[in-house]
Amino acid sequence: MALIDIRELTFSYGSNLSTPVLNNISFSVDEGDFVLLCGPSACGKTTLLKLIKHLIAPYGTKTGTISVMDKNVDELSEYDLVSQIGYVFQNPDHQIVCEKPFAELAFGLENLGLDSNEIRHRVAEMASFFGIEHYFSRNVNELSGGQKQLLNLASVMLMQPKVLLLDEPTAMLDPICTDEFLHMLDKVNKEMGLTIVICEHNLERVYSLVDKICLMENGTVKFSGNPENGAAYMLEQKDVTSLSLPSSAALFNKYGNNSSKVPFNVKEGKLWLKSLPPLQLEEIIKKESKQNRTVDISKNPVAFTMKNVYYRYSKHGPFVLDNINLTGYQGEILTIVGGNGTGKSTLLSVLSRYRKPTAGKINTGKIGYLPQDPSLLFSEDTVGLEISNTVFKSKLDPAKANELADSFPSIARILNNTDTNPLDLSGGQKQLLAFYKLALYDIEVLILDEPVKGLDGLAKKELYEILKKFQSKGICIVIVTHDLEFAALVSNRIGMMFDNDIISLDTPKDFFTSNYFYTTSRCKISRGILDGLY
Amino acid sequence: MKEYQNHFMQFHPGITFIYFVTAVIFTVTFTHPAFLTVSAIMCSLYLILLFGIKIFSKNLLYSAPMVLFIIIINPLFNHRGITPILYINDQPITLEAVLYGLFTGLLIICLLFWFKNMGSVIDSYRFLYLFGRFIPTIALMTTMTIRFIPYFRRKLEEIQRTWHTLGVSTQSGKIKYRLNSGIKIMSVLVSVSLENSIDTADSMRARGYNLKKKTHYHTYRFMVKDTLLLGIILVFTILLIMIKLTHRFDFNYYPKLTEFHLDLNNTLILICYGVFLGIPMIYNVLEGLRWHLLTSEN
Repeated sequence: MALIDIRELTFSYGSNLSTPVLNNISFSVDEGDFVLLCGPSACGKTTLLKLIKHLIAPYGTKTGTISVMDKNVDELSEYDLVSQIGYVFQNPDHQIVCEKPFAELAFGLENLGLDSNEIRHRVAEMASFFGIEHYFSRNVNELSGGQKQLLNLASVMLMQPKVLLLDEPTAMLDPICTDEFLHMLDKVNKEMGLTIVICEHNLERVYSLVDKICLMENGTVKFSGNPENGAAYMLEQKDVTSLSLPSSAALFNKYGNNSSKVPFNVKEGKLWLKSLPPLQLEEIIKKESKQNRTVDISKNPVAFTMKNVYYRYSKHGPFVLDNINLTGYQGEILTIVGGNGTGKSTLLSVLSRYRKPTAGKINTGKIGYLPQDPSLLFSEDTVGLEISNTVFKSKLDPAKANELADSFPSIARILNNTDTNPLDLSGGQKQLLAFYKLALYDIEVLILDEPVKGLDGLAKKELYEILKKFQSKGICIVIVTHDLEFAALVSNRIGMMFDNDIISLDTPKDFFTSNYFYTTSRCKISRGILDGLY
Repeated sequence: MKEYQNHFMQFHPGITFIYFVTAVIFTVTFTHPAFLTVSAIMCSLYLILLFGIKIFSKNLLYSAPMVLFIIIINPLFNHRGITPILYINDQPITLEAVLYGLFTGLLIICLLFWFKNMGSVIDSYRFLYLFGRFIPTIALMTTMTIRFIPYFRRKLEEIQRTWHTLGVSTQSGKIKYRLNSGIKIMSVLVSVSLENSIDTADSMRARGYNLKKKTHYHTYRFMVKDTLLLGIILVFTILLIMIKLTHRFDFNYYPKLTEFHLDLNNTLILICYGVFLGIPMIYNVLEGLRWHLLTSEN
């Protein structure tokens, strides 16, 4: 018996019937399944999840049926919709309502009208299951993103739902928190038999956990079935989502033979590599290291220097930056990685001259700063106004601005929609527009804070291309990111921030092959078998 | 510095709420300068104990411009009173008008401080417990405001940092330019936050905020000490109302300040008033003593 059964579902926003967001979708989820919904941005994944939850369904026209536990969602009572179907949103911050974690946990149960003893009992049990006890009474704003998202998961789990829906829950988390969060989901699925439907862009970690995948595109289901067949299908069809598949599967696709099982995690990847004949291993290393060849940029002119820079927030506070020495070269992509609270964002603040260093010297050309949420960069109501205002302010020749736009096809596409509100664009589109806006200011150093978060495979590829373009124009690009895969792909040099200092500034090859834990999946897979692959 | 253990919070939120409301009402009704001064001293003391001297001086500094404004504006337009200090354009500036402005300002500061103290004792969770049933929307809005202020502050800093590199800054330049930059930065914050609030609303709806019944995680039981406190509040209230009815402490600024002597009776009444306003602090001292006795016995 299927727990969720969707039949011939078609949905369009408002009364705009000509372009449905979901088009004739049929699929079902069995009890205990862990289902991954994937596909490019704006393919209708979120709409589908919200329609299942129904309480938060968008306004529009719907045909076909969605039934949960053999009941049409239209007929389910509000009480059942709240308690039986759990929903976790993408942004950890926006969905927390209360000031204290315990109040947040109790929020749903209080609404359901459970008596105080029952609430306390359930909260206590769930808090220990999720390891929330030690920040139970702290203020919510003191928690890390990962802790907040676990709190959100716990507060939904408390209502003992029959099915859990998650809309890109790890898009805003760093890799370590992502692992922890997904591990928790896996635990909930395996230990409690809870049915889970998750939609995700980054498949690296989640792919090996799920039982079933459902690939969507333009509001239709392109494929649904087990992960092995799904991966094979995506690779065969050259679907854009295949760009987000785990590195082991991507490697296998290039060099593996179709007879063996596709590896989805490091362990399986290692086993597969070991099974290959030495001759083929040599071929792999030859081909892959050619791609990884990095250009020496230290002969290029200097773009910025930081010399013995110290910074602290208050007079007697600890140094958040402790003797930083850093030089960036023109046409270089310099990536800084490291955990939360190691001083990365302070480094950006000081480098972008928003904060004055307590001691030390900084020399830079004109700086552009692209925040994690590109929306912060837009102040006008339409894309057209945004650009014309920027051109006016930066005193750039309009003809030159047009020329600049034409050199980036992906940007030109966005600029065509002059009447769209910048905030209505997708995450990737917002970022491209932000790039263009900053480029109009004729910057020499571009600082990016977590540019990869929440992007799908295609948007990542576009980001990569635009970064390479900026690089070829001689702009020095400084990236702070948690995404090691992307860092390995794009950077000339990588540094790790630890204990308020930049440690081990190296080429990606040296950096990743010498790290044991803080490294890419490719490197983990090939360690000891194919040295030098990252 | 050791954190101040606010034992007053152990009382039932309903009772502490009644306490603060009476304190505020008395501060407003007893406008006699002597009473105002007592109220000002008590609420300042409590604020210092709760938040520390640093926050206290910060709050004082923030409210200073408003008070100064009242002190300056009132005598400029109000020329009643019989003791001129100086003349501006042949219009007298009178001592009475200046004092009136000063004490009105003091009253406003008192109210601000009392409400701040009240906010610390009746935190968002207690507030929701008290009012969630009667005015669910307002109660929730209040807790959410508290919850989102630090978040917005962080966002604001990020927006400032972003726009700083584009030459939009509130930190340097001419006043007009800074003002313009400030408006721009605020408008970005508002539009981004509005977008985010849709998520919050969805998250609340998804977890049943619209359902009718509502229970509470914490139940605050009405205990003997709550009844006791209620009794004490009642006694003081009756006492103070009686004092008010005697018109002994009516005070006129115009045309001439009412005379007032700090004789024995008046002093006793003021002390009594001070004791009432100091109940939270007195309770803390008592709890401290009790703890001391409890531990010293072993």
